[in-house]
Amino acid sequence: MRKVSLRSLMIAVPYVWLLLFFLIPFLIVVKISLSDSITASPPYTPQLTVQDGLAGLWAALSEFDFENYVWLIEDGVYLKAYLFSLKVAAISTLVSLLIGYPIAYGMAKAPKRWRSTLLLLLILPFWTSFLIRIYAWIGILKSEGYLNIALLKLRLINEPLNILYTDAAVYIGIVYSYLPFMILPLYASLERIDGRLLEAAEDLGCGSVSAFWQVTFPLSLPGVIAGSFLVFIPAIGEFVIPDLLGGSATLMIGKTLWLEFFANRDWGVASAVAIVLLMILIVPIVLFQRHQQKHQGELG
Amino acid sequence: MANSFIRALLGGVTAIACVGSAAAGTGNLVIYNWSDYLDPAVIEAFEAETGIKVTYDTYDSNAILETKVLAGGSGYDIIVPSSNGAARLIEAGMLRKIDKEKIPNLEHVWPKISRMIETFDPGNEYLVPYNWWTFGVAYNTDMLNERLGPDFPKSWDLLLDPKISSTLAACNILIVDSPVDVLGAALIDLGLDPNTTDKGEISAAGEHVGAVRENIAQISADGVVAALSNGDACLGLTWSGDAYWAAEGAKEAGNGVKLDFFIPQEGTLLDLDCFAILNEAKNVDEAHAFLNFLMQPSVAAQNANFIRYGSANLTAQSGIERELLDNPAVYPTDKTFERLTTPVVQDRKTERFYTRTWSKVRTGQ
Repeated sequence: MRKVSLRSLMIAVPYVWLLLFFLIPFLIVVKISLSDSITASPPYTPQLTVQDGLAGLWAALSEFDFENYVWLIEDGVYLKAYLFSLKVAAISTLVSLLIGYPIAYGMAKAPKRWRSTLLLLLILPFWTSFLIRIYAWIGILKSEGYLNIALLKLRLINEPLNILYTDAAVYIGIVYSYLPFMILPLYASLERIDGRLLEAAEDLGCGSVSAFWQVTFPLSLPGVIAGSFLVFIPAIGEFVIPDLLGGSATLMIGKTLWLEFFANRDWGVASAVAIVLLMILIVPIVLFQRHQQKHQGELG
Repeated sequence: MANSFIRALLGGVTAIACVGSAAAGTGNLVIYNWSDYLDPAVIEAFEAETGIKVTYDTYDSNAILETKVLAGGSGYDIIVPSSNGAARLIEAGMLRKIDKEKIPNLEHVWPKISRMIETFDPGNEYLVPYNWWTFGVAYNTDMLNERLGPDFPKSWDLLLDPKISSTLAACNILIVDSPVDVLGAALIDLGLDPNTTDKGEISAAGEHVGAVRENIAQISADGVVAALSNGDACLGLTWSGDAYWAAEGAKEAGNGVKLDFFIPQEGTLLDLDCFAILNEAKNVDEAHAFLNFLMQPSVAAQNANFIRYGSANLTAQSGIERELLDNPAVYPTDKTFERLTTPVVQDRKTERFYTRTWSKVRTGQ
């Protein structure tokens, strides 16, 4: 009997954690998104107070409305920002996959004694602050930066390229930052592939190219999908990279949210933007979860 | 010996409880200020004189300050909002009325400057003016002379006249990312009130800037100073203080870049930073003691010479460097002063309309 209660206690821990640090904050944000902004502290109304009892609670609830959400729909800026964020996240994911796959493949095919060193090298950049690494890109990409100096010296270009403060810089920053999250799951699934399967394919008359497409690639699909989600999901809400590297015309949803919260001090609209973003992200997250479960089922 | 030990112990206790009084010399004070906006030596002198321990924290935008303060429980005693933010914090009931008897040095405040905040703080009950500055045009003298000749108009036209700005586009025009200031300048250039609430007029200002958007290399929150001092930009719409620091940066780098600043003949916006004490401040006496200390003419002059902004302390001027006082970008002439307007606080809808209009200009849509 005691064993059972201990076990349910252990199981309860993650639920309590999620309740405290996800569900309750989420409900607070939902509540603010239904409130009106005012010039006060805190800058929204109505407040829910315990003192007023049930009647007060009911009065406050009746003041809630979907005005902020209506505003989001009516004003085209938000839709544009959401769509642009989706586009940036999708392209960044694709580019990360194209760059990450050969790297992961090379790592998985490297001699065993090298692999842990290669893995370490992949994780090494994380030892430096993310913010500093993004700042470093400013130094590389700016018109008198290292990249342009190098290209000019090599006589590959005649005048400096304008990369910093354009969308291209945002893509470079996002792909650079999230590439390890693409490579790690790819490497994990590629490394697990049984070499004998490839030998068998060759014995059966497959060239190395068709062996790759018929054996290696399908077996690495779980890694491809996991890596893609790990890049896509954080990239869509990315704020720091577009803010530091992007131009004034780059309007992603993270920046829009920042503007609502800080520049307009409109906590209501900012919360509504956050809720809609979460709703958009839930679809890929659920798909990811489904996929993971299915995959684990296959392995088990 | 035992006495001093008990005093120290009590000091510790009161420090934790945050009820220490200035007179006892054992208090704390938490200041939240713009970065690089107070001479560290002033804080040290204050600590040495009063025994009050100062915790000093900085921010780099009004938005960060307001958000932190409005969320409540920030733990700060003294903050330094700009006029717009200060007005909103007064409206939100976040600020405490200044006890003027505790700050006798308030007599040194320059009436010409304190008058500018009367619109939202009648009688200056909540705010103590600190520094003031204008929004204007910083430029690279050589680059502009080369392209426009030496007698170019000291006017907003340098940006807002497409014919002029298109000739400057090649050497890069940068403007600060500040809707109130840039749209205000456009409104002034159109002969309209920079504090208008008329949506048609605000839109017109947006279109006025939008018409030259393609000539603007970048709209940046913090890149204007560096670009000007590196010689990467020939024209920057920015604040007088930033223009000063850009020129200093170029001098220090010794890169031959010569910068200057003018207040356009059409007029511009004047803005102030003011000290304010938060309602939730725990060290109210210490806060008053600090403001009184800082308002001493000698201290204010030392501080003004350090931060290089226009000081709101009139008596301090006898101690401020000549070079600074004679700089019309920092201390404009009386004639220029007549053409300066202070931004007022707009209602939420109007403010949002300003931000939205600005967003359209920024993103070029």
